[in-house]
Amino acid sequence: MSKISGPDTKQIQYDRQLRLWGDHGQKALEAGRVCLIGANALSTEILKALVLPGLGSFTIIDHQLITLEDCGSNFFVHPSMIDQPRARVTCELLKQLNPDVHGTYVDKPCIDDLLKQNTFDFAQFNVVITANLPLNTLVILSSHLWSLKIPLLVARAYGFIGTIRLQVVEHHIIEAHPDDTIPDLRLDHPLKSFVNHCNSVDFNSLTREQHLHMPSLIILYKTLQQWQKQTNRIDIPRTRKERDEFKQILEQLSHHSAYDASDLNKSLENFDEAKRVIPSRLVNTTIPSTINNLFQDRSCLELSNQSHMFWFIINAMKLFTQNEGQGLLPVRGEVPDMVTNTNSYVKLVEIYQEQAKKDCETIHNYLIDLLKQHNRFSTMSSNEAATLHELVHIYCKNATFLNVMRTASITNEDDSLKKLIEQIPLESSSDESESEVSWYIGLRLCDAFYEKFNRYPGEFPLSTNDETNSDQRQLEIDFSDLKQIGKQLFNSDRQQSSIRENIVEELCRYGASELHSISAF
Amino acid sequence: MTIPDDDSTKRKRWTHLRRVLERAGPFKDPNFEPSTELLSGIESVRILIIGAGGLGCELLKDMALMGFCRIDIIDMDTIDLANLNRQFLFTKTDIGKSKAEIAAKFIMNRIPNCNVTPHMNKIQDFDASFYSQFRIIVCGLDSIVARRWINSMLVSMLQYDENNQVVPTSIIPLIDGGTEGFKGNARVIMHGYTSCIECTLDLFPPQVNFPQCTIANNPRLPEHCVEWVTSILWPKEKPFGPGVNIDGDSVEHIQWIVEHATKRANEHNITGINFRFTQGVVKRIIPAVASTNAVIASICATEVFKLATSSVLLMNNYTMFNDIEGIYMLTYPPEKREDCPICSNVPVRVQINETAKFQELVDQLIEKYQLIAPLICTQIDGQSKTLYMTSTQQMLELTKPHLRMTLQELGLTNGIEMLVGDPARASSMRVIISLTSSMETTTAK
Repeated sequence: MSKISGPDTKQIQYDRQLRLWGDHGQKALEAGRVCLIGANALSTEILKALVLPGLGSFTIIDHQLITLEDCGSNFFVHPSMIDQPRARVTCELLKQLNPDVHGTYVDKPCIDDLLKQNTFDFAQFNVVITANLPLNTLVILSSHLWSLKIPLLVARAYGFIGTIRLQVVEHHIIEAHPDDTIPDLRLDHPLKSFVNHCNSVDFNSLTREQHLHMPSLIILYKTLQQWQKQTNRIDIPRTRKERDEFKQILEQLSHHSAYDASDLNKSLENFDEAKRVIPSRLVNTTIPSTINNLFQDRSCLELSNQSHMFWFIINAMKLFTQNEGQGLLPVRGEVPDMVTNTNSYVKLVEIYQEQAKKDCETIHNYLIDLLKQHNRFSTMSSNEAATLHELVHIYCKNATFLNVMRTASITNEDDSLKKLIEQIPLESSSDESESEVSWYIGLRLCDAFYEKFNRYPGEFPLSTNDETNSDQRQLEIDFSDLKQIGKQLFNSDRQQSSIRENIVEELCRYGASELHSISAF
Repeated sequence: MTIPDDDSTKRKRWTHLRRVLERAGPFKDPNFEPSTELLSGIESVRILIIGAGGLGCELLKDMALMGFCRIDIIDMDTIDLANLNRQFLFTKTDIGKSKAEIAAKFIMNRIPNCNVTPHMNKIQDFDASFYSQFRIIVCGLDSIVARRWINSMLVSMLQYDENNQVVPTSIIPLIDGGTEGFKGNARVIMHGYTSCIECTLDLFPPQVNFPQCTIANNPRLPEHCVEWVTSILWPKEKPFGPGVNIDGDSVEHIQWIVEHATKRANEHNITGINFRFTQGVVKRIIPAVASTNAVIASICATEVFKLATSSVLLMNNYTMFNDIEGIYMLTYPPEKREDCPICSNVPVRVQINETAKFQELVDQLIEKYQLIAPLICTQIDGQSKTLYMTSTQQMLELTKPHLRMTLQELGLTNGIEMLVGDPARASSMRVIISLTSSMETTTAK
């Protein structure tokens, strides 16, 4: 018996998260290179959640020096480091969280100049994240990243409000690890091998032992076969009446000549289970609309030598569904636990796994053909080619959950925002209906204020004595300036009414405060 | 290191907080008065954080950076390597040391003038006089039993006026957070007003237990094989000596279990057993990441801040969070049970047939109130009598025979009051028995 090795240090350290995203997900994280713009409370809290689980590397860009105010919101600075570059100190303290992570910083020039000079290579990153970046800088950055096809995450913490916005040209979702999925058992389009196996079971000649341990899946299929014969149908029961008919047949099958009174008093676990799982077993197996959309997607239809591997595999899967799959996705191959003896269960698992393997093989072959057709196969490294099968296997297992995500670009946001406002139903002035959009609009006004006055409304040094009157006066001035800006920016009546005065007032109150607990969220 | 404690430095340092404390806004709590005094107000508030693990570390950081500087933290655990992916106040060199102590040290170092007092204890080590020192209590616990215990402790400290209403100043708000993988929840509990932990026990998912016949005879999943080794083979073979129980953290123990579980699996054509899987089953490991803990802790911290300052309306009062796919949040107030055995301040009434055996009564109590190991006493003819107790072998022997006796034989008459204690409670529950005659149907609910 070979010695079972214990896990290594990293596997122990990351154990709790490996149980969520697996070794595969961890590898992807460790290959991640993130750029953070801003070294404030918000950005460092974001980075913390990436560094702790083992992000590959990060670069933090910020030209400012640490102030005493920073010490009242940012965990990754220290009062002894006031007047030192924020980027350098936060980088150092973040690296202490996890020595496996590589971190660098850029403390000059400021991000605006960096963008103007155009010498900084953003293409080296997988993701760029901004934290409370002023809008005019953001717009320049976002259009640059859009053309580089680098995903951008825009985060903002403003008083008690926070926003997150994602800009991504195209993002592929492959291993979603969703909760609570419906098993892929296909009673409505049963596997040939499954049918053969069921046909070898004759309910009339079962021993008592065999009957007690009959797996619910076979029970359900036998019931279905009988129902279909009775009603001369080839699909599954749909209406209430049909379901009742089905349940009646199920009831009949649960009787066995060898059952005595004591058997009948106890419930038959397998038959109870069969009844209980009807809703998730008697389902129509179809291709989800998300997948059909992928099949119809332009990137799928216009496959080329330059296409991402994702679209090659989607194409291969599409070919499969049009041929061997007979209109269905590859079999997932997983069978949920059911009350039965080991052999019966294992036999069922083998049937489904066998088919899954076959389907995967077929799709793999289609993939190779496609890659060859588009002159991609010969240029692949031997390593890449070797891992293709593994890759196809992952796609097949997750076939139902594959998806693509595309967002709008930020540059066109004002127009989209105005269009969105036109679509909001005119609400009454009751404050019940504060939609999130109202906050977003309010923040947009604050951005406009910043453009004009180079600070946010309400963001001015507070008096350090008890004199709050001058603060209050300035606050009122800011508030009315803010409302004025609102009138200029959103000129239609409909747009005007979407500006909620109480929200605008509250945002003024915040003065772009970076409350730590909000940043931490 | 300390930084100057003068007003002007303090005011400058906490500029971000001051903007919401010194200014009113339309979303403030009606009791809120913006004032420059509020900042010092926060500094005088004593808060208690229970737990210095995934949530605890985040909570401590958040509270310190929201201006609180008189913080106590309780945790009985020591630091493990597997904690380091999220319990960021600890490093590899801290492994084996007290979580509470190291967490306190780190924070006091990083955030000067913040005072953190660690307690390497179980929460049960303290009594009401300890807990009453705090204005607000925040929990980042990993056990339901512990939550129920602190919940009942705080209820036992409530005072009632002549109309049986809770005196508001006797309430210590309890903020409770919990996480599991990408899911989490946070809630604000004001005993007497909102639902409490006991009111909403149904919200906790039931524990997964495999039936014995599956384990013994019909294994199908790799989990069944592991459970067979831990519950049947290990007690039989005692591989590391008599009386040596399974230590989920021992690499050797787990390796032994993996070896034998794999053998059983192979006999039954089952695959999937490896070290990580096996340890997960043995320790009932719950997956965890830093980000979920950060979210839930920050929600709790914001509520603590609101409670201490009234600067904004409180959460009403239970939030669920899930970021498996996108971001999902739902906030709603679960109903407070009028008959909650803990927070409703009326004794529990139990109906039982007059000819029933004591065992039946005990079973009913355990099932209905999700008790773990009840301790039942009563007063008969002015004398205190222990009816049932399992905490020591001696008491178990002494009280076990009571189970077979009828209620009559034990002297339990109609309307008699019993006191029922349990590890899940800090104080006993009053239970009054109502005896029904054999003619009436007894509904066991």
